[in-house]
Amino acid sequence: MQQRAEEPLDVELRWLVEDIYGPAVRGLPGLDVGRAYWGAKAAFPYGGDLVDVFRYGKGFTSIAVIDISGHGIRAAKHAGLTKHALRAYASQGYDAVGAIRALNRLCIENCAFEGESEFFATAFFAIVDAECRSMEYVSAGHEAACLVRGDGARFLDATGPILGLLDDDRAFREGTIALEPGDIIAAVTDGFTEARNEQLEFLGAPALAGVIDHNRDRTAEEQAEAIVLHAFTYAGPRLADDVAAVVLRIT
Amino acid sequence: MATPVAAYRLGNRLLDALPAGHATGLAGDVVILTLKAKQATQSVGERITHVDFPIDAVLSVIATLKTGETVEVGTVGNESFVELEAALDCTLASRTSFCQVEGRVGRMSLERFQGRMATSYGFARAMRTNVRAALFSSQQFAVCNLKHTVVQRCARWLAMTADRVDRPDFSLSREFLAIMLGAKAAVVAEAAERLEQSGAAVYRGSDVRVLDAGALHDAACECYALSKAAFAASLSH
Repeated sequence: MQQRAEEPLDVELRWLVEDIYGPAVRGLPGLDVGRAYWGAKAAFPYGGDLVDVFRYGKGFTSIAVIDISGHGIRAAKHAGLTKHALRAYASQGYDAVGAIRALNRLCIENCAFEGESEFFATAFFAIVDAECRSMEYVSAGHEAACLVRGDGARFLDATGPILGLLDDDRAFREGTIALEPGDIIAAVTDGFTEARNEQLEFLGAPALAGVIDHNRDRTAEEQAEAIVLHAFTYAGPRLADDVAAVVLRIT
Repeated sequence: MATPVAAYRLGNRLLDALPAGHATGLAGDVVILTLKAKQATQSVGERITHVDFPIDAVLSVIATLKTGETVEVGTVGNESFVELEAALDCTLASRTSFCQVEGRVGRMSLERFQGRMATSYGFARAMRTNVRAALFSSQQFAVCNLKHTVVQRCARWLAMTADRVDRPDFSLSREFLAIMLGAKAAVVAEAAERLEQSGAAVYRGSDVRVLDAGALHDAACECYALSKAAFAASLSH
């Protein structure tokens, strides 16, 4: 009797969590965006890694790759908070650094208000204007995103510390990039860079540029899947952390 | 809200240990502020506007790498002060600092601080001696980070924090400790478990309680005692 009563709740909970982590990215004019995710824990395949793509305003697209401390339903709760807060800030006209500063403050104040344990998150957050071909971004304690264009690859260094650590707007800066047709931007979580092979060597960030370069003629979705697959192939059963990837191609 | 210091004894051991005659008028130069946890007190690259002498607050000085990783390079309590560079005639902050454990600090404007450094030999000597102790500790902790286990470093960190807040329980999440130590959260959680099994300290959520200070000191590496001794020596001027 009790078992039957719990089943609908399980279904609802799964729906709620899957909604946080989101459906596939729909077609976006001027952009080809793809993402892929591998959850390390089969029982609850959603950890603290989150990729969100959001279209808003007059043709802006926000892209967030977030790695939240902790695992399980608590991390999922914080994933939902950060995803929707960033969407709200973006649609209210905040620039990338303004949105991240607001989110940082929210992380701190929300935990203090609710009296719950603090949580931290690393984030790569970008706002792309496909029409003007520009991207502003903040990398808050996150793995460096990779920009691949005709003349090679370069990594986008951090522009701020991990979120939730200190209440200081000045700690966060913004980077801007003038985009060109054919540019590819890829961002991952640390499950990729910290994947280890049999010799316990880290996969590392340079491998990301290699995977993109090797798959540059494929769709963004295929490239994102290739990134996750590369980590999986490299580490095999030792892959203990979630891996999330997003790829953005300027068309 | 700022409250002027009414009478001396502030509660910061460095200022309280100033020789008679070198603390004259200090009360008028210091205001007591209560800092919230995570409140920034100085940002890297910005002009130093003030110097903080912790009373029961604990401040962290952090370094952020190009990769965005943030690691603590100094913890400061009532044995010292924050913006050590101010004692070396620097006016730009070389690190970001923020409040790690909520509490009070005595804040002195940079102008007043520099004025005292220039006019009071006793004050300047006390500050520079303290900077020397901090430099020694930084060097010791550099060795510590290379050579000592996460359990030892956790124990050192908890022991130092307990000394600074002067009570056995305080709030300090394992996730925060992991960031400060530059270690994985799971590794720090394991270390905390080891300390709990040994009866030294116990975690309940984000709250730590030191159960047996002696056991915690035993679990810590030698760096705890060496740093403590360096600051104690610097305060006995």
